[in-house]
Amino acid sequence: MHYNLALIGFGNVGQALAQIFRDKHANLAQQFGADFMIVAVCDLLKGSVCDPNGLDPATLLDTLTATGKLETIVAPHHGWDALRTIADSGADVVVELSYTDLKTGEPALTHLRAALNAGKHVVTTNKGPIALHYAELKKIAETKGVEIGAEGTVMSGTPSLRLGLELLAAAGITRLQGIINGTTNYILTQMEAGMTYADALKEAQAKGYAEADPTGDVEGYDAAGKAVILANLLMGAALTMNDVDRVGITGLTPQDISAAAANGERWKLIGKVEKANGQVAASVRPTRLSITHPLASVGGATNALTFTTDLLGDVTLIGPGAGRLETGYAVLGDLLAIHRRFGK
Amino acid sequence: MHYKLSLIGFGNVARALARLLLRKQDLLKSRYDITFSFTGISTGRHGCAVNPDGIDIHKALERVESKQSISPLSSFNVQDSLAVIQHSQANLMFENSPVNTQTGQPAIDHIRTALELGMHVITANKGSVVHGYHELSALAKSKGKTFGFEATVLSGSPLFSVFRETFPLAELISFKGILNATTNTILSRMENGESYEDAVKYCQSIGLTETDPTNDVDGWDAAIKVAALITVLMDTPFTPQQVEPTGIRDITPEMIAKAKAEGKRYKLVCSVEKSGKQIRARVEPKLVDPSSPLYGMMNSSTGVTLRTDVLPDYSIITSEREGMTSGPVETAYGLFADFVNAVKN
Repeated sequence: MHYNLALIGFGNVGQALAQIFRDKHANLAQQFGADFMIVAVCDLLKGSVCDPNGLDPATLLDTLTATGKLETIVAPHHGWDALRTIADSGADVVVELSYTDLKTGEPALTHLRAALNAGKHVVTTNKGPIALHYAELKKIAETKGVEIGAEGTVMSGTPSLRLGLELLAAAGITRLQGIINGTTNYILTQMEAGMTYADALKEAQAKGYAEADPTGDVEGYDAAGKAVILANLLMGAALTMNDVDRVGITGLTPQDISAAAANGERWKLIGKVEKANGQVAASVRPTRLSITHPLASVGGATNALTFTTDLLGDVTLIGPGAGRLETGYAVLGDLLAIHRRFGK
Repeated sequence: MHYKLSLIGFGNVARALARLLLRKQDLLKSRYDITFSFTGISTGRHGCAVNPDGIDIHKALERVESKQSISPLSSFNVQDSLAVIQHSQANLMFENSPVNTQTGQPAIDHIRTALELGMHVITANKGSVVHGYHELSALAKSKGKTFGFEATVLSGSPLFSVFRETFPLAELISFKGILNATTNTILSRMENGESYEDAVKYCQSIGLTETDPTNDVDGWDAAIKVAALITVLMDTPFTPQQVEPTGIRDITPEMIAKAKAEGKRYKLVCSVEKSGKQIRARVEPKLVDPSSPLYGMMNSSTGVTLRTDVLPDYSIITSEREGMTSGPVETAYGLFADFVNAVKN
């Protein structure tokens, strides 16, 4: 089965996906019978290029490395904006990887709406539109008989949504809780080792975990967005960002950290989604955990999520919460899920 | 869609499964439009029954649990498992006959027969995966049927399918974990001062281990799970005998107390490493300290950390929910989940 892909956004994750196709195209065809071909790439800064006969992933990556742009690639169409790319590139699947805005979900929201309305599958790693407007997008997708893949929005390549949906099918999930922001977990781990908050943040920024403006991470907005996604996709809720009881880590002092340590405990920023009396409630809060708690030993930028289920007890998934190749594989996982469902 | 089910093997796990299916029958109907009946049952000691119009499952449970034969529930005379499979007219078979670590039989014959008759097959039988995976999965594929075996490892957490879907192109190069709930429970209880004998008795009382606990305490159950993971996820045939497990019988209360005083604890650790074509697998008691992800896994917790050639480590761990005791119901859940996943599409 052949799929034409349009990539909206060509940052780290888009490039990682191109790299996977460059290196593993033959394996994908042989193992899964899936032939993924990039027909268009549209990036706000790097330019836009479309060839309905296919763009070579190696050429995309090499040209970008050499020139920082996509403009010099030989192709019939250049300079199309995102909406034109979605409409006219002949894509079967739109991979939306533009920047995240947790207040409006834009511009990704407009892109996803356009793609779904045109009957195209979408795969996105963008938390904004999924956290804010999943119900609306899902409705369009159902009407049009297409799929929304969003695995990369939570825990990047760690298959939290996929595992959740598998468990959900039969086990009945009653609670989700975990460490769903790698930046704050890294900072807390460093503070426990004796660093000040300011130094730990600086180090997280130097390592590329935290943005220049760290508010989204340290005030818990990023984790809150993920909690909303988990609640709405896995527990059938209709929460908004405002429904999340959210406290970040900026109020934690070195004294708090050492007081916990003296008590055999450790601070973690815990995201939690719980069903009680038919209501789903979500929170993001710094929480003191005993060091014997399974989530307490999760250090650095690693993420972890515990699914409490009716029939199976607790199932905990631990893995990387970020990373370009990890997230690229999350996109690939979603593409293969579309292939499993529609490729017969 | 209506599913006719046959249960080959009707021990603790299969009976827990039957009860789970009954408990969830309204949900299956409302969510997936699935109904079911039981058309064949084969037991080890209490006879066999076949009835294409449906066997009264409540009576079957009652009879077996009061040690009576189920033959009177049969619409005609059948003598053995293969006859049950052949005459049940089932579209799906659950294979839960006793595990044979040496050959995987008779489970492999049961599964082959059922697949050839066009049934889906779901099993918790590790022997059939270790000794028959390549043949049986190829046969299932050629027939367009499911051969589901999530219940064989990690009591039903979907490890195999999640691995396949998450690491579509990755090569598994090593894994490490705790795979046997009984020994982990025994070691946890001994750490709290209970004797080995009492801890074994406790595990027997909740149905976690057999009257003869040899398979668990000598490491064979862990070894066969290791072999199943290698066979499927590393795509390399491997037997439990190649693992040469060491069990927990030699771990004394003194050793446990000494470890505890040093802030450590014993775990029956499974570890597998692949280098080139060479696979090295071990099951042995090891001292672990709090920096190990295995340290916090107590009682019936099981889990593994997987390392692939492309991405960082991933772990999946199952543990008891508060107020829950582990037992056959979790394995039954694994079978149930495979059933739902096989029929929901």
